Amino acid sequence: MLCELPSFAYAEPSTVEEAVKILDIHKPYAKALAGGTELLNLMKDRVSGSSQPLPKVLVNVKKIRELKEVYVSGDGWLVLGAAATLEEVAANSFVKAVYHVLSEACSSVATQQIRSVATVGGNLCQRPWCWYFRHPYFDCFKKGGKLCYAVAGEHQHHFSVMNLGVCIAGHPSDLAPALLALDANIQIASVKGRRKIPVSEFYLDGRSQQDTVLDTADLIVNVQVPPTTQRRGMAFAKARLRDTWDFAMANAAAVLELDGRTCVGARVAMGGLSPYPFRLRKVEAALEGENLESSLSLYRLIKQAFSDAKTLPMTREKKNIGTAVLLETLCRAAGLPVF
Amino acid sequence: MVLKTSVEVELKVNGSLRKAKVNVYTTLAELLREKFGLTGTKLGCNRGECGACTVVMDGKPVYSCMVLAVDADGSEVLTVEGLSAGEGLHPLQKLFIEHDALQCGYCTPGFLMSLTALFQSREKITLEDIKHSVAGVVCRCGAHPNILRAAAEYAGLR
Amino acid sequence: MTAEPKLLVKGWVPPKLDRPFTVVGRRINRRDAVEKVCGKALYANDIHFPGTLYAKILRSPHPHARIKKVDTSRAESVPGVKAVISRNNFKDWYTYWYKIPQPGFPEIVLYAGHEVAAVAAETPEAANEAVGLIEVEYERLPAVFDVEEALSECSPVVSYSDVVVPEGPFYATDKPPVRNVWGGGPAVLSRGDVEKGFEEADVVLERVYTTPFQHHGTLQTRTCVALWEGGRLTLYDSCQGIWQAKEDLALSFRLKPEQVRVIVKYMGGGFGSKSGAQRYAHYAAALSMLTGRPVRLELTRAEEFLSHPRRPAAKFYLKSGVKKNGRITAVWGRVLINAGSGGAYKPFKHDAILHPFYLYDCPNVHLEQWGVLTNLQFTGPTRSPLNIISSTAFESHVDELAAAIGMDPLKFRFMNYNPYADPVKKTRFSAKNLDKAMQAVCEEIGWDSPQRQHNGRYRTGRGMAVYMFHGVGFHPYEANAEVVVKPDGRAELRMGIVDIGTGSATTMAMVAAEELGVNLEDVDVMYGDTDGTMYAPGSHASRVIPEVGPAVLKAAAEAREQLFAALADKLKVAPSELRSERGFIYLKEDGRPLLSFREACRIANVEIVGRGSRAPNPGPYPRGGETSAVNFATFGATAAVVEVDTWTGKVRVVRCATAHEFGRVLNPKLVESQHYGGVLFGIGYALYEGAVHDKKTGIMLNADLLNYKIPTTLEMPEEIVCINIEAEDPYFAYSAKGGAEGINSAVPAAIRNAVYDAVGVWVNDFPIIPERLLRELEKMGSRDAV
Repeated sequence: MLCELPSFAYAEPSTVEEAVKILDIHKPYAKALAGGTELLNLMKDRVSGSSQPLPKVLVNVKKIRELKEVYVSGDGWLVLGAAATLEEVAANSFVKAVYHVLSEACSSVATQQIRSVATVGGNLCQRPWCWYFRHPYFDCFKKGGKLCYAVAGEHQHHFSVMNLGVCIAGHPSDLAPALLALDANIQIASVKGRRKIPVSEFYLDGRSQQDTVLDTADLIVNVQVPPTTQRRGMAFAKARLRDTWDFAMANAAAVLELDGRTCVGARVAMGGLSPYPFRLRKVEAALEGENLESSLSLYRLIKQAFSDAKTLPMTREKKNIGTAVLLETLCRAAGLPVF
Repeated sequence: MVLKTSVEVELKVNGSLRKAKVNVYTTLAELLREKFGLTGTKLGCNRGECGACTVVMDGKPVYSCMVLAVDADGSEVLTVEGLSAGEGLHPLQKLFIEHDALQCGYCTPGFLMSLTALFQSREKITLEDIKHSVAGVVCRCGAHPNILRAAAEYAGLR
Repeated sequence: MTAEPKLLVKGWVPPKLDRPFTVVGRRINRRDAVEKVCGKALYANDIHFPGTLYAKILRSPHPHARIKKVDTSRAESVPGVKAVISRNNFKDWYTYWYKIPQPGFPEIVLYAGHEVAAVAAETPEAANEAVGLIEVEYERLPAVFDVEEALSECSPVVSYSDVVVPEGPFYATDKPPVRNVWGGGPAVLSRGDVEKGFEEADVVLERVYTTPFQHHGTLQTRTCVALWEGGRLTLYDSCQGIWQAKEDLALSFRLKPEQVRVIVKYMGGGFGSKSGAQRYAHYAAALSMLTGRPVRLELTRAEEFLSHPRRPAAKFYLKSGVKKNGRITAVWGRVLINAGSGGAYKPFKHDAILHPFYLYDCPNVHLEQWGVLTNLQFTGPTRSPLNIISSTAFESHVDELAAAIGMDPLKFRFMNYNPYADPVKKTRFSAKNLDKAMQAVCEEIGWDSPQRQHNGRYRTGRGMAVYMFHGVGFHPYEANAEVVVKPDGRAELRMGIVDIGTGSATTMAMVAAEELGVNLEDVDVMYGDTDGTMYAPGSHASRVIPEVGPAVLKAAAEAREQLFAALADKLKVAPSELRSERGFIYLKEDGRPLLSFREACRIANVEIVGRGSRAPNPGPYPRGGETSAVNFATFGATAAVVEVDTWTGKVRVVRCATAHEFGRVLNPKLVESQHYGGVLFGIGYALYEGAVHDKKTGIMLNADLLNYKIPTTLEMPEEIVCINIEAEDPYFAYSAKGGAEGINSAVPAAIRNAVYDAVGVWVNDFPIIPERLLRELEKMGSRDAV
């Protein structure tokens, strides 16, 4: 298994402006190289199609200081550089103390070895972890083809039950639900300048060949998390087959504004059950104003959460798994025992 | 900006400064094994899915098959060959032997380096820490219970 | 009437050791551990030669296709490419694996991944590029992947290409398939009258059980370096059997045996998948012969999954009758084995039905095992090949029978326990202590006072299962060993085996040291090279200890006797008055040492060579349904405690007890490691592993280690208790038999039965993935809250 990577050209810019210029000149064949834990594997497996060209230029963004920094801004926003590693974010004492839903989410990704190099930006931009997408034999929708092969094929474990589009892969990111629940924004740079969009507007649904609103020559600079208040309860949970390495069958993040035992504001987000990370707005509405007395009362609030899920033969039971993960997350966020 | 297809890298490997000219697509695992002749680090999948290639880079455990050699430039890498300084065995290696924490031996460097990264990172280590540290290496022979025993004894937990 | 049982060696049989053990039975570190922990152990892909070429294989993307044309011209003109091989230049070439002749480059490819061509080039990049430039014109043929579809009238027929060799070697097919049925029909084991048995039953149960394709998942992929030099082929390989690989390569290239040398000092896991010279080794050898350069071939992980023979999947129909008093009155079974498109099926053609036939004392039994061909990769021996299929299905079934009449499953097994080999003819095994094994594992997990939790989200339960396994040696019973004792007092054990991680280099040295009467440190071991050793079996089928053990014992005993004969003269004693122990020579009736072993060697002043060869077992491992006066097998049992998360469907194995009948444990430390390995394989089979194929194209979707889920440290139980059942079995060296792999067999059913105990649902399809368990729980309506 030597030299499984195809050859490519390499650039090592030191500023965002340099980086986006190269990405633009060589689009769509240039890709940002951060941790590389997904990108290099896609290249080794030659995953490509008309809308997924095999990269020919890799732009190493890890030497750009702006992308590595993790800090709290003057007005109290937590700024995570796109190339900050998951391990750095998880171990950051401020993040652990104040935004522990984020450190929990980061710590749950894959293995230590991957978290040592995998990045915030990379985690958000992952392509579908679908075995048809990642196999050269199948020219699937997400690579530029017409069909989703999983629908009539094998769709156990990592496929969605909600919001089906053409693609039915479940979204693999653990960070995305946490950042959604924290109302974070993403700063994006291109040759046209910079822009900021909320995470809730970052993802496209399963009807789109692209996963996010990013153009191929865009570069994520950082993720910005608004200042928090003391009265928040937050938690993250993930259900997967093995307790390491594996992507979520379902994951959930919850951030609750609490006034005593009363929930005065809720943000609840999940991944794994849908092709893109989503907020459970009905659940949020049901929680707001409620007295969160017991786990059982929480269960009653959420048990219809997936009632309009359009499941497939092998994804039906994921509703149960989703409910279990959601309940665990909410119980822990509310400071209640998880049954 | 000039695009490159090969680079010169310089890094410390097991305490010694090493240099090489590599293709940009060369991985750290290939650099260590093919160029530097340090074949103790093994390749099992080349996808970061088995952990056999784990080395310690700048204090962190990484899959060397997933790190490009160019990204190792300027770093300090510790491989299994660097565990025993001089003649004797590292105490962790001795415990692995004593507890039979290996069978075919192919994953052994991966486990040793994962644990080394853990033990270098802090003073007080719990059994949970150990389990999570080795959760990123696959063993197919079944050495897990003995690996945990060896590591627990090293951490003074027995 | 059998003769008095004695050690299975040819020629002179050494007398039984008439003193307590001083080496055997001790917990001793494996001797190759130092190199492994230091990263100094050289596996095949660590070995470098100047001028090495890199090889790469081109594989068919289609599951069934006729190759009409292969154009290698563009590949050949890639700079650095030195040779390209395919049907064009290797047309009527047969590669031998387990001495099964298979076309090296078949005209019809039978599965997605089947080899089409191979390239050798100066760099891996050039080899990769060249493979991509080989143009192949395929005529696609209809393909079939499912066993029942393959058996149907209108199914496409798999163009089976392994050569049929009537009266041929052990593993080679002796009858052609007929319409996807291996050998033209099923293997059948039958006794009594099942219809009558069903009439006598109070309860009749009909069930179907399915088991997955399990891959070996060896951490080292198939790798070799082939050197053709001076008319001789040397292969640095990662295989499990150097002599078998040597034979296979000699056959493939029509070489004389002395022209082939195979060397394997360290290899990264076998589990049955790497015995003999596999396909990849042949391509590397051919490329080396063509180019005159060393050729290194290293399969990628995806190629591992696609090309190596794996455990077949199975669908087991069972119908059994039982009386309220607990007696089984009838067992009818039909198992369909998905054998892929070829490979080593013949030796296993009864193996999925032996368990119900021999382990249970039921008078009316009819069992059929059908080998079915499909357009999927070859199947072959995998740690406890079909024993695990048999145990998984039938032990699951047994628990359902017990539950149907309200009897405790352990009591039910004792009620129907067959202490014989054949219960009708009352033939016996050389040793059978399965009852002790069952009792021991159940006691260990607290069978009678279980810590059960039957309410709430997490529920615990316990279950058990049994198995029958070989581990007693088999055809061709050719195992040789030499013990050389030099005048300086050091002994060298020479054996042509590979130590695949079981520690056989250590355990065999212990046998030699014990029999010689020296300390283990005084024995060197020479192994892993066909030069300098004699034929020995591959390290598979748990056969090294039962086959090589007696040969080593005899070789050491012979060496000892030669030393005594040489000494007798000099010391003026009769050789029969001498004994040796712990590195000293004594007079038999005297506790004081006469002199040290080393001194004795110096005085004797001759190089001593003792040799030993294994003799065949006088009776069979009853593979074919026939028993003789004495039969050979090993047995064991597993008990497990599991915790089920009823919300997510996840099953966690909390504790496990495994018992195997080893006869005698040569080295308890190393044997425990084997127990752990069996538990790992069994947990994978039960809960996590299984090849996933796209049903339309047959393409394997999880040919990687993320989606083919091998359990990690976090999935292993908190506690595994290893129980070794020891009992005299004079046929084997110190009664020591093999069977490490047998231990996986009963783990899946024990887990599945424990799941029933915990949550009251039977899951009959393996692996028990969360979705499957949740579906069964929902059917029962027995889930709490969620």
